[in-house]
Amino acid sequence: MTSYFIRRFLLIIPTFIGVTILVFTLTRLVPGGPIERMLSEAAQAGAGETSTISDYDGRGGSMLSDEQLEDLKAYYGFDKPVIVGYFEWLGKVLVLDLGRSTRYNDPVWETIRDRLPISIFYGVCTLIITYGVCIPLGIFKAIRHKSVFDNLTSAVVFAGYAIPSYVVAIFLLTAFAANLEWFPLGGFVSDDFADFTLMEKIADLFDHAALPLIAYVAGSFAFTTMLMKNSLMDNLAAEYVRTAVAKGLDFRGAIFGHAFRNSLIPIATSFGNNITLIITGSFLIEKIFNIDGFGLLGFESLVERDYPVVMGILVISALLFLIGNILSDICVAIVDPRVKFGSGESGQ
Amino acid sequence: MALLEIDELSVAFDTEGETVTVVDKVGFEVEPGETLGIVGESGCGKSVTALSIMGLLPKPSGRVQGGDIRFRGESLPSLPPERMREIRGNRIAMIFQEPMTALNPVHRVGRQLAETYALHQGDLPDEAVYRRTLGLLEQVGIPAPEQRLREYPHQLSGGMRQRVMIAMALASKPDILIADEPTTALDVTIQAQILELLRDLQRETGMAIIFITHDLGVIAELCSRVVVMYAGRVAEQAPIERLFAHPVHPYTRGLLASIPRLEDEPKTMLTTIPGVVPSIEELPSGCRFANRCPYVKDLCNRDAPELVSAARGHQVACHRWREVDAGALEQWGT
Repeated sequence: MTSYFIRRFLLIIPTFIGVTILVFTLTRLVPGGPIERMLSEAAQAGAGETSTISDYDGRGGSMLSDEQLEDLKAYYGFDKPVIVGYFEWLGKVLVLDLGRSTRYNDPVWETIRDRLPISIFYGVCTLIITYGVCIPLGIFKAIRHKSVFDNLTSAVVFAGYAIPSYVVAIFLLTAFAANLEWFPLGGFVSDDFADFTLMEKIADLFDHAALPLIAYVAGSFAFTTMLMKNSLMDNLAAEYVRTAVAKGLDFRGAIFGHAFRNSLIPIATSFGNNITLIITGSFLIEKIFNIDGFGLLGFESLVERDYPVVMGILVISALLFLIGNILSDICVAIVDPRVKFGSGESGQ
Repeated sequence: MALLEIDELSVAFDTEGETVTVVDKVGFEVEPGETLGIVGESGCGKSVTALSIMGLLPKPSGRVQGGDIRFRGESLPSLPPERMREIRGNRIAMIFQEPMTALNPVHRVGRQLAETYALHQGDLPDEAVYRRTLGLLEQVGIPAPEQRLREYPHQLSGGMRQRVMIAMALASKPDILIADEPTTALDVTIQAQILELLRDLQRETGMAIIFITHDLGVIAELCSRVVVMYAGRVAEQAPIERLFAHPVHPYTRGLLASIPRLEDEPKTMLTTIPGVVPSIEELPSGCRFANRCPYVKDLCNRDAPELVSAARGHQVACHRWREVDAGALEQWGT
C-alpha cells in the first residue's frame, strides 16, 4: 500500500508538468498580453481614446519604437521560444519564485497569500457545513424514507441545487442586506476590524460571512445528502445488517454499529477532492459580496492578462487537486479494509 | 411441552396495496435437541417461516397475520421488542445462506464474534470474551484462530465464513439454531464438512436445529424429522425414515422420484414434477398442488385438504393420501 502511494505521489510530477506546460503555451498563443495592456494604457493616457486591449496587434502602433518594444518583450521573457520560456518559469517555481504580477508589480506569491486566508476560511466553512448537514440529514432521511420530512427536505435540497448560486446571492443581498439591513452589504470584515476585541472580531467575521456562506452551500447539499441516504438504505437492506439484528442488536445499533461505516465508503471517494473547494471560490459570489478571494483574483488576472498570477494560481490549484485525488484514495482505504492498492503487498 | 411450537402460523406481505399471504396456517413443533428439516422449493414459505420465528420479517411489508409462535410457552410475536432482543441471537440463533454477504465487510472477525457477548453477556471482561471467541473458532474447526480473529471477512473463504457465522450463532449457547440453507452457496465438499460440523456441534451442545433446505439429500443426512412445505402450506411431516420409506403426499413422492439415483440407467431423462407452482397472488381455493398432481379429483380443486394423521408422528394434507398410499393410483415417473 505504501509503495502505491509513493508511486501516486511521484506521478504528480509529470501530471503537473503536463498541466502547466499546456496553460503556459496557451497564454503565449492567445491574443493580448501585458505589453499590449501597457500600450493600451499608454495610448489612453496619451490620446484619451477609448480602446481596449484587443484593438492592439502587439506592435504597439506608433507609441513605442521597435527597440523599446524588444526591450519590453525581453523584460517579460516573450523574446524566447515558448519551451525555453516555460522551463525558465518552471526553474523559478522550483525555488518557490512565482514571478511578479504584471498588473500590480507585486510578487505573485504575495498577491496570492493575501487572498489565501479568505478563501481557506470560506472553503473550510463550506466543507464543515456541507458534511455537517448532509451526513446527519442523509441518515435521518434514510430512516424516515418516504415520510413527510423526507419529501420536504428533498424538495428543499433540490431547489437549492437547481437555483444558481449567484441568484441566491443576489436575492440574499437585496433582501437581508439592502432592505432589512440585518447583514453588511459585503466585504470580508469591517474596516475597523483591527480595533476589535477577539469576540467582536469573530462576530464581525461571521456577520460578513453569513450571506455568502448560504449562497455557497445552498447548492451543495443535494449531492452528498442523497448519496448518504441511498447508500445507507442499501446497506440497511444488506444481509450483514440482518445478521447483526439476528444477533440481538436493536435498529439503532445496526445502523450506527454496522451500516453507517459501510455507507460512508461512497462519501469517502469524493472527500479528498473537496480540498480544491479552498481555491475554487465562486467568482460570481465573491463579486456580488465584494470578497477578495481566489475566484475573483483568478478571473481578474485572466481578463487583465496577468499571466504570472494566472500561472501562480494554476500551480496551487493543480497541486491541491492532485493531492486531493490521493487523499480520496487514502480515505477510501481507511473506511474500507477490502481496498488494497497496488500488488506489492497483500493481506495484513 | 415442546421447545418451540408453531401454531397455525400465517404470514402476510403487503405489496402494491395488496395483501398476500405467503405462509398459510403452518404448524409444527421442535423438541429440545432434535434436528427438524424444512424442505420445499423456492418461494414455498420456508425462509419466511424461519424469519418470523426470529422476528426478522422485512418491515414494514411483512407481518404475522395469524396463529402463534411459542418458545418455552412464551408467545414470540406479541413480545415487546426489548424482550425479543434477549431471545434473538441468545436463545434462538440463525445462520444464513450467503456467508459472503452475511458478515460485515468492514469489521474484523473478532469484533463481530465479540458483539454477541457484548449484547447478551455484557458483564464479561474483555479478556474472557477474547478467550471465548478463540474457543468458538476452534470449536467450529478454524485453524490458526488467533490470526483469523484479526482478519476481515473478505480474507476468508466461503466455507470459513460460514464457520464464522456458525461460531457467532453458537456464542451464547442457543437452545435453537435456525439454519436457512447454510450450505447452498458452498461447493459439495465444503457442504459435507459444514453438515458434519453442525452434527458434531449438536451432539456437543444439545441444541435443537431447524434446517431449511431444498435438498432432500442434505435432509436425509442430518435431520430426524421433516416438514415438507408447498406454496405456503405444510404438505406432509414425518420422521425421517418414515418419510423416505413411506411418503404419502403426491408432492413428497414427486420430490423423491426426482432425485437422480446411481443405479438409474445412464443418460435417461430425469424425472420432474410437471407444471409450475401457482403464483402467490393467484392461489387456488382448493389444494395448492392440484394443478400438478397426477391424482387430482374434483374435490381437490374445491376444498383445501386439512392436515390429518397418517400414522404416529406422520401427518399429511391430501384428500386422497389413503389411495396414494395403497398404491391404487398411478405412480410418478411411469
